[in-house]
Amino acid sequence: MTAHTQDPAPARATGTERVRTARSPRTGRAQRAATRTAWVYLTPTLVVVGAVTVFPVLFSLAMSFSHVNLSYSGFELEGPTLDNYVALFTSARWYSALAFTLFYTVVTVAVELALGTLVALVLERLTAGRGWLMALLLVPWAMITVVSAQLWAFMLNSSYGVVSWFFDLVGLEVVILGEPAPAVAAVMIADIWKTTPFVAIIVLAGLVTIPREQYEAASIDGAGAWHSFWRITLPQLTSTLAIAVLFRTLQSFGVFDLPFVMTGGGPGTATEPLALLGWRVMFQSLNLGAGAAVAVTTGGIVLVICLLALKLFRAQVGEVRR
Amino acid sequence: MRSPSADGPPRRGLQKAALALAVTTVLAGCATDHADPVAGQSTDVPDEPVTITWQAAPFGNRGDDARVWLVEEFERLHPTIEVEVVSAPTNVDTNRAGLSTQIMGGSSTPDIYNGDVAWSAQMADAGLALPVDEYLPDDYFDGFDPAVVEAASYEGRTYGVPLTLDQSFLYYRADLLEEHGLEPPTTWEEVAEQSRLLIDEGEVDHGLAYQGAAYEGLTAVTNEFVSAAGGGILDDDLESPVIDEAPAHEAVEFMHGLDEEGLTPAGVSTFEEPESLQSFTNGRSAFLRNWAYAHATAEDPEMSEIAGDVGVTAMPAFEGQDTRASSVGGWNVYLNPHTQNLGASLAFLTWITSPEIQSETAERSSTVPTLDSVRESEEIRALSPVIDAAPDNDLVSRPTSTPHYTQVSQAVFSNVNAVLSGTEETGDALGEARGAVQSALDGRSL
Repeated sequence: MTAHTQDPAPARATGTERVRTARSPRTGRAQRAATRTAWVYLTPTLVVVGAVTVFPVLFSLAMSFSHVNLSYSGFELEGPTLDNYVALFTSARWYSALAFTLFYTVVTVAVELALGTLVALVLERLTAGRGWLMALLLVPWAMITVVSAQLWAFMLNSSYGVVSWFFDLVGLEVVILGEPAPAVAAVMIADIWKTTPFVAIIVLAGLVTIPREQYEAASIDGAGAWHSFWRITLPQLTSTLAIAVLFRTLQSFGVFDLPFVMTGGGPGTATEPLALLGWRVMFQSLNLGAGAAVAVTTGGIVLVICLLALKLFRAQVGEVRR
Repeated sequence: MRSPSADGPPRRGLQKAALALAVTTVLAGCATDHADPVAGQSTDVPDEPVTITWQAAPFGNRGDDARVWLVEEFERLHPTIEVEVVSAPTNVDTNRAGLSTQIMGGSSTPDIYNGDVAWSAQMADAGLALPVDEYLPDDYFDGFDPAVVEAASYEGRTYGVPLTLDQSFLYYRADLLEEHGLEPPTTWEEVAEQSRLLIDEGEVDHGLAYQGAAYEGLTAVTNEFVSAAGGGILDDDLESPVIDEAPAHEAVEFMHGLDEEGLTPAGVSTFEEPESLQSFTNGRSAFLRNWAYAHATAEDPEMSEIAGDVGVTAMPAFEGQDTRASSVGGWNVYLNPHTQNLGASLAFLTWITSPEIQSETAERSSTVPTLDSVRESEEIRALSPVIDAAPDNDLVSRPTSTPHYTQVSQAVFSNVNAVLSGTEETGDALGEARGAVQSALDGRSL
């Protein structure tokens, strides 16, 4: 344990050291001038980042703690108040959206990771036609989500959808997008169909970096494919998988387009994610304060999840190095 | 540990700067005034050439795109005014989201926009529409249907000029009814009875198709059933919910009963207008509840398998009651508070809502006129069976005069949809709807 926690530290220390040694021969004035030049070059970027990221985030934060009154001349913020958050935490709809979003994220990310890894393993072993197969696999991912969501909605439509027709044929009476559990499953399947190729490509990139000699050595030692996978492949894929999980979690947690097109959040609010709820509160109910509160809490939750995921994976990567 | 000495201070400085920026903007936002935003602008038609922008989704039930010929004709009559049409999304919610973002941000375009009749109170409350009655003659609204003007008003002012009137109708298979010696139904009980008969005879798969998905359309449908049963969504003062009282309970139980008995298509809880219309036009359903536009499509041989066999009548009542409740819909024209072209905008909107142009729009694009004199005139009634059936409808307005209408509606449609999809009992669902409507009215709802 001690070994791996300390392991990265010396590397960083040497990094800082190197910078210091490089800097030390310079005079103080030259250094200040260099710093100033750096700031001058950075300013445009910082202004843009500030305007499009930092400012809106802070403004949303301010809005979420205010009563927002709309009038002819724009809006005024009255506050600070906790009313928006009280409304949020006492709203069954918010809890339902939170539960759906969490469930959706956990299931889709887990399934995509498992399927994506499987697909990548197959692709890596292919000698002929890998390029073609990859191109084919990427079609769902490359398709615009609104379009593919509409396609799924057509296939699942209760009166003329091909899937419903098939269900009818085998005697299953279910209105897929009209009942909560099948609707949730349908939206998740559409997401998994669309995004598994993306995970597969990332994992494939990780797979090709694993030295072949290790597998040869393992097979000489009598290890089977199963053993090799768990002892060689998976440990060296950890950092790749971490990236995949991070990307997918961020996207899944902010899902909007799939349920918006396929179910409109229905039946009831069974497939309403936080992003759709936030949009509705803000732009349909024109309740800007509460909408900002939805956005801020969602952002906060995503941040916490990502930090936790990174920490977890960093610990695992450290363990492998040891 | 990151090394705070290296990048700490500049980052903190940046945070401070950003915070200062945010605070300044917030304060600037606070310094607002409530004065008339178009004060000082003339309401006369300008002499100088101007261009005004009109945002409108396609409207009219068949024939020419009304937007195109209206603008052409207006520009011919008013050479100094050019009207630029901005096509709005056909989805009402997306349309409103775009408009509110734009106008909230202070944009002076579009100068005028078509909006749903249900928007008035919300747009008025949020400062997204001007009280248009202030710039029009006092008797301007006298000729319009009172239910429609009421729906366009908020706290004593009128914010929208009614452009087209929409309402729901009961469409039926005239051929099948005649074949079996049936009269067009006037009560919901008759609709159920005739559905049973036609299904048993193998003529159709389903009885009644309507809009049962979790969206605004279901609120309109619920509003009709509940009003026909003698109840409502809110009380007359729009102050408290009555959606869980006996008439509403009976009405929703009736809707649920149709579903249970298999008299509605299995997927009715996912139907919006297109799905319900299709279930009727492909011959699978005997009856259809839909808006005025459905007639033209159902009678179009290219889009319908039952063209020529379509009958239309006013909405049914419940047995022993006489309200043939039909929800009011349609388009109003609203004025952007930031318009720089008040005079030209007023000229255009009074022109497109004038009696002559309403008649012409009814003829060329098959809209239902909002002016009583036009709608009830013999020539106009002769134009279409839909306009002819309209006077038998009892128009009921959704409770759109509360600025919290969107949340009220959401509370209604999501809970009634839960009943239709079989996930909740009527009593429980309406109890929940009551709670959600109450918190919406208190402004506590999301």
